[in-house]
Amino acid sequence: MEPMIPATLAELAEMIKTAEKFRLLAGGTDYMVAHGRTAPDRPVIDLSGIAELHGITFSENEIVIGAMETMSALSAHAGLRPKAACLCEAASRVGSWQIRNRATVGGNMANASPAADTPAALAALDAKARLVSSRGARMAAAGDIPIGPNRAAIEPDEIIVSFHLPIKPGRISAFGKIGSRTQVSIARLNLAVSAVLEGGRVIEARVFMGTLGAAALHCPEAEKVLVEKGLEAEEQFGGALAHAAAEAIPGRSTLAYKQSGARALAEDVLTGLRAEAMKGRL
Amino acid sequence: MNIELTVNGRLRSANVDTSMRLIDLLRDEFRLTSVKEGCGVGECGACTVLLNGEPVCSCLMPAFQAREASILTVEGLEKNGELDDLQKSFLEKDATQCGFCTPGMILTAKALLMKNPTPSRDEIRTALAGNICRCTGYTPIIEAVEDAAAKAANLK
Amino acid sequence: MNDYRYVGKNILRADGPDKVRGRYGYLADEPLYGALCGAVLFSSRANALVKSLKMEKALELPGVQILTFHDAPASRYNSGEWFPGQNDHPDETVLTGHVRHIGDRIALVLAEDRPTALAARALIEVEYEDLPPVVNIDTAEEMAARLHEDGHSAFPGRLEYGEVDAAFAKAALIAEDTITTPKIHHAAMEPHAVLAVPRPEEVLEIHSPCQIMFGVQHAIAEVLPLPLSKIRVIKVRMGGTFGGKQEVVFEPLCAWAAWKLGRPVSIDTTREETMVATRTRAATIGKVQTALDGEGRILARRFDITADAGAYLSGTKKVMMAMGKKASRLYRLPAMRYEGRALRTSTTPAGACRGYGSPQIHAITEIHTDLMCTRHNIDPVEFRRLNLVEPFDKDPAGAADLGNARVRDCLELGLAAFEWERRKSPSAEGRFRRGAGFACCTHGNGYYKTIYHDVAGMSMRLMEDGSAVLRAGVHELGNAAVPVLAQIAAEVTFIEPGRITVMEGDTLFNNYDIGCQASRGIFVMGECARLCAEKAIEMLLSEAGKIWEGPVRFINGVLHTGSEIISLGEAVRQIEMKRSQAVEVHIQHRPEFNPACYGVHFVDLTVDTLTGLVRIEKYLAVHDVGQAINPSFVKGQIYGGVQMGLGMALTEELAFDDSGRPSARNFDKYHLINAPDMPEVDIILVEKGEEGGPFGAKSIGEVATVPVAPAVVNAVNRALGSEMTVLPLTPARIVAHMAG
Repeated sequence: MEPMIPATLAELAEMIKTAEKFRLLAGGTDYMVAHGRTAPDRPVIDLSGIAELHGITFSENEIVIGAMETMSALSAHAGLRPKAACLCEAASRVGSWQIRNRATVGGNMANASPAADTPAALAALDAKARLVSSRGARMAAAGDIPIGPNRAAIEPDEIIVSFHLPIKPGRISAFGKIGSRTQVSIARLNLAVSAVLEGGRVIEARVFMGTLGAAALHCPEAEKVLVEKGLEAEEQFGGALAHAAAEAIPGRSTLAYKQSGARALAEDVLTGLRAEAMKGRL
Repeated sequence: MNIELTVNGRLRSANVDTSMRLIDLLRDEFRLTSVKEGCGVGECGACTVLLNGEPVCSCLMPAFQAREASILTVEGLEKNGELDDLQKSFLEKDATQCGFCTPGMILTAKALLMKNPTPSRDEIRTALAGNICRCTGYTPIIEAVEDAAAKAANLK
Repeated sequence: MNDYRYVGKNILRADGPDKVRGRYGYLADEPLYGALCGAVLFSSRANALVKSLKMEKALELPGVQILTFHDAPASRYNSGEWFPGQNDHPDETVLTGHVRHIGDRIALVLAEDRPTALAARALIEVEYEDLPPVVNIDTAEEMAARLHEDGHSAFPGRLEYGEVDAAFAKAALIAEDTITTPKIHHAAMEPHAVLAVPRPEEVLEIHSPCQIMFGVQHAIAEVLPLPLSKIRVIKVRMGGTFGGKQEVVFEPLCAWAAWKLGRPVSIDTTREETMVATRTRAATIGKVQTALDGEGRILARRFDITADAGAYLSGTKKVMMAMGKKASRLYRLPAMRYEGRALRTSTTPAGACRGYGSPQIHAITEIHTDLMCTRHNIDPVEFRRLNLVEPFDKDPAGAADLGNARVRDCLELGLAAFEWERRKSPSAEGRFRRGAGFACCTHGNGYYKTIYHDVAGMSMRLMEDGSAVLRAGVHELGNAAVPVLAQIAAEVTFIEPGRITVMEGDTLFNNYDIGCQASRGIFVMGECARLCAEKAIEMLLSEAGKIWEGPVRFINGVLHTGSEIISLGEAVRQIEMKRSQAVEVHIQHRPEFNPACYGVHFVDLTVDTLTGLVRIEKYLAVHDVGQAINPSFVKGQIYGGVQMGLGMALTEELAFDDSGRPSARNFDKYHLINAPDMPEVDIILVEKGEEGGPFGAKSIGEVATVPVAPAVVNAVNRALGSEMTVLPLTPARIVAHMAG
């Protein structure tokens, strides 16, 4: 079977319309593990030739990241880091250098692993995904896309074109991850946090913790701690995260470990946020 | 489908189908057997090649995605019969034992030195995090990369 | 210190240039034209009878043939038996209709190319009748009949000397611990592969990256009606082994298929297949009791050891017994009782693995020793000073004398260099706990004075141009087994190492040798190479004396007659022409020593009590190596040994769920220590010589990994004030301990 290689979104739309069943191929780092060593059971549409899926651009109000941008591109992007530190950090903690050179931010979202790193960061940054099909385009909150292990709220004929990150003055963010090795490990727990600071006070926070259940878990209680107690409240923040974990996976054998890990990540991520705040003199 | 790509400086063409991985193309079609399959899932780095100068796992890449790309394997490192500095340093520092991880290690290190000619030991460790070695405990490999960097610096 | 020309120098390895060029061809790199590609159909059940195989669809693919357990010989063999008559219990067949672990071999699918073979394999439908899997080692003995029909529920072994019970009766203090060590994947980077080629005159040629070529030959002769003389095993270039390729796995199957079909057959495997379907380090549970007198001297030790053999006995009973034999060679034990058993379970078979039981027994005793010291307020250093063996001690169990046992030197040098006194007290900062630990260990140097024979045979020919060929039944494992032999022969002959070609194993052309196992590479084979080179020079001089008349002396690589100086090559030419004599010698070396080698490792580490992750801050390895033939090679073995041992201590474990499914099938879920987590390792070599070894050298490759895990566990236990005894100390286990 030959792969289909559209050069534009328009061509892609045509192919999707005519193909009954197909698989979309981005960087291949998940696809190849699952399907790479056997003959394909359905046509493969390769997204790597579509220029519209690339690029990291900045406007006054938002950052737009093409879905086919790689983890390496994100982690090394000098302009991105000050505005989306948690995303850059999450990207830099994905797999090995070799993997980061191929794995894409769109693929990471669409693959919808509960342990994925960049979806949690995108959710924390309140990013929206732009989804396109022949029926038109729509925006969806990044946090709403992964809905189950390897299931995403994306229609069969839709693809993620880009992620749109709102630029908010005073926003800082940080990401933390626990694996079974320092580097090159699937997350056993990850945590992405953004906070908007005004006059040294947290006025808004977004907290997403990965590997607990179907997708990165939104933790409103922990957000409340940050808004009410600030970036020093490691104990309470960690406690709120541990509580969120208990509610997400009650009775699971790994719960105790995840709760302990949550306290560690609370400490690490708040340390990271305070450093970001210092850097930005917020 | 037919693809064209540059392999070790030579323009090559190949007929590939969807299920052919880059490693299969390089090993089975082009007989570039320095590219090793240690795990097949991108965890060991033995299949590392440089794709437009960047290390990638050739076991995780469909061959057709390498169309129009430039690929470097260890076979392409030697210039006019002379070993690359990294190859010399790997040899001199006993950074190779069984040799199975060696080509992938050398290529990742090569990509690192192209980006960062004077890496610290920690930067070397991070760059090589995706290349597993069971024999050497990495120390001689890290020393070889440092040594190659020093050789290159002395030439300047 | 010495004035050696090559010994003690970092001569570069001869295979290095090809390895850095990526053209050191492994078996999978050089497929044989016309060979059938074999794909093994592996069991997906842990314990089941194969009721039917639906193969119609598979057989429709072009050129596909399938050999199943129905076709296979019924002969049983033991994968760890390397010599006829060793009587290791045979319980394995090349293919089986009663699958006993996930990854057991049901059928061999053959096609003209590998993709077709794999596609055909995927089309086979297997109908199983499930039997209860035996996963829990505690019930393995009572459930044994579910797994094997041979009537054996356990393979017990026992060692005892001295008045054990009396010693315990009069002890001032008795301490007891139970330590669990994990099942481990060898993780040689090259997956398993083998090629079998039928040749004329009924010679069956096996190309195998193996460690014991005559053992492979023997195993195949157990399965096929061929005399040993018709089975030619060629050791091919190997991408690591660590014991994983010491026992036969696919060789008998591949040989049988090639013999039956009259076609060359190759079997290449993937990582998943190598991980679930080959061999592992045996998991063990070890109870140890120590009786001390009032001054802290050991009066006696008692052991109760269970080793998990996995689905087939393999070499596991031997490993279990080897553990006992190491126990009396580290501390002075006036009395000891060692009771052990190998039990079979529905898991990947165990077998030989770097250290052959030493990493397990020394983890058990060294962790226990430190726990005992902490519990009873004994200084762990003073305990060692009081109890460690002394040079030239005898082994009270009756095995070979310990030789120049320099473990005390290792300890004292290490304590000073590591600044033990400064580091020994644990400290805490926030959620982090820092602690230090160390562990001592010993290992052997061959088989002399064991129940097995030890003999190495080599021949050497000096060539007309002054170069030389050394034919040794050696197996290059990646550890520089081959280049050190050249280096040793060079020291004797003055021929530079690069001009000495060492021929690797080939059962048809090499002299008999019992293989690269038991840490005998340097001590036995290295000494054999030295003696062989000496004999070649003796012959050269004796023959030269007949031409040039009178005493001919060999000085700095050239021959001095009374009147002239003759190059080695010229002498060889003259001897051939005038005496019709090739300068070619053969030697059989039968060692009369089997000394102990020692290592003491020190580690300083930090435990993150919330994540359970351990960071190694400082590492020191001190080893008693007699004499480093090539210090860089020796250090390479130690760095690699530390990497492997850290895995045993912290991350590596093949676990199985209740249905016998492995927790990991590839490196995504089985984590080896990678470069960022590998510490800087400082090394001190103690080189005080050893009688019977070449230039005083003894082994390093296996012993290097032995003390790592206990040193790490002791440091973690000191950091946390814990008594953790289940290895590896995974983050989950550490966090669970912190939770209480």
